[in-house]
Amino acid sequence: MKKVIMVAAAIIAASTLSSCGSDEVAGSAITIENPIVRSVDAMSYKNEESGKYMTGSFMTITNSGEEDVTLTGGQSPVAGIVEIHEVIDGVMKAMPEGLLIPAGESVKLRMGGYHVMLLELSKELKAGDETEMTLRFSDGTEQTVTAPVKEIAMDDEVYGADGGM
Amino acid sequence: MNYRKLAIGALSVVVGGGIFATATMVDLKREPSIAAAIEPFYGIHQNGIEINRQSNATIIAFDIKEGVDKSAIARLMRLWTNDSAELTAGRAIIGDPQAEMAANPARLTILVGYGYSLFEKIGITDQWPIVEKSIPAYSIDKLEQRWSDGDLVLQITGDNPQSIFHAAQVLERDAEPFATVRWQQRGFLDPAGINQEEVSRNLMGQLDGTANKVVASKEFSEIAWAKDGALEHGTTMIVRRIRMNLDGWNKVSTDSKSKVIGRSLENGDLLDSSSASAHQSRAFTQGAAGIIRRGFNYDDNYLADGTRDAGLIFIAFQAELKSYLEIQARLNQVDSLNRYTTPVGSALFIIPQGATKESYLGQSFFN
Repeated sequence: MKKVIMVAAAIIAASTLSSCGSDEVAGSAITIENPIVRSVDAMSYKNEESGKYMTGSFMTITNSGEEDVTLTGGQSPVAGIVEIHEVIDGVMKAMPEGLLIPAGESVKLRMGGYHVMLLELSKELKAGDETEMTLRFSDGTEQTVTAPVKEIAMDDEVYGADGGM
Repeated sequence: MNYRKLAIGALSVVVGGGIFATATMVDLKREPSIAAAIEPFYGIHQNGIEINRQSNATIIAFDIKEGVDKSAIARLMRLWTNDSAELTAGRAIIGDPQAEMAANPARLTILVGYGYSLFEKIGITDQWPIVEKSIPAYSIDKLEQRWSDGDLVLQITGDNPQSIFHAAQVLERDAEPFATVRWQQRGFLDPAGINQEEVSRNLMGQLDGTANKVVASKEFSEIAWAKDGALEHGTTMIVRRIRMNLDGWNKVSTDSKSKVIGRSLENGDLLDSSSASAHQSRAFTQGAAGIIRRGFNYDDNYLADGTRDAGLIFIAFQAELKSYLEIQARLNQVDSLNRYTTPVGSALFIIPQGATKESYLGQSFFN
């Protein structure tokens, strides 16, 4: 028996990216998915003056809108300072201008690339904890996410997913 | 008949504001890629039960660490829910040390369940949704602690042992702050592409699970899924490690083997003159609500006495645990198969309903 199924897939160019993540905020074109925070361990950086640790946070940020949006900064109950950083040739650099999330695109924040830096931590975050942070965007919106704290190998900082050894 | 064609409205193109859809004929006789096949994760039921045969399984039981409380279990469940959603879709999680291994999920599914001991340890026994806390030890059992019980269970199944291994690593790694592995059992059946239309054979050569209901049928649903209460849309899971005395079995003639089972070894058909102690006669009686069997064969090297440690990881799902208990009690009394099989592991878990994008597995218990 011949069975013919018609599937009409109409996809509108501007909305090819799904925006149904759990962290979606009404009115915002920005979606934050799978945020995680690297646990503090022997490899973590420490501010020798304050004696406080810093760590990175990683996630996927999607802009389903028609305008470019920039991630400009944020705040967290566990961090004195929240900055946007990137790693270039294994060296971490602050991005004072923020991180551009182009219209209709997703940007992955990950070890060895772009990340949110949590500085001046009020406690040593351990794997199994959860951390809240609020991220600020250039369109005036803010989003608060709850990120699990996980062990992440520090080697990735140098040998990123695209770098190889 | 397998001659099917699927007309897919090809991707539309936006031209000057207008949307044009074109239809393309795709011949389904061309095998879809086994590697790329994806099973849904989110749904009212957890996936990995009402699903056509998957070739491989890794079942891992965990014990939680001292000091891990209800809110910690909730954190673990949020991690495992997110991990499972990503891994089953063939995507690496951020920070995955073997990110490349997430590709080729091959119908990977991940199922999470809980033992009564978990509810005891985190002080929520009042929420345990069924009457039974464990299943009885039967006279035929020679249970070993290293294959029995557990606070948490993961059933990781699919058609690619590589993606199963990778998923197990990711999930174990994220569980590390909360729990330690109690036991792990790995099983296999015919791989994808072999005997697709039939149930697989166990290591005794018998077609196993012949009596299972068809996936997505009303009968399957009625047996598998709890209709109400705290376990609504969930089920109960039995995992029993049945060691087989293959040396003894191999000395029995084909005809006698069939009589032990009560079914033809060749095609699994019921024998006309089945004795009352044959396995199938003992296992099935009219009116029994039934169980869903999803077992896997195992082959784990050799025991200290030199015999092969091989057999069946018997897995059964049933909304009503008593369906299983009745069958097992009958098998325990007089089952011709008992001479050739020894249960060495036994565990009971509850399987909560599935997760949505807005919820995590077990949320109703740990929130």
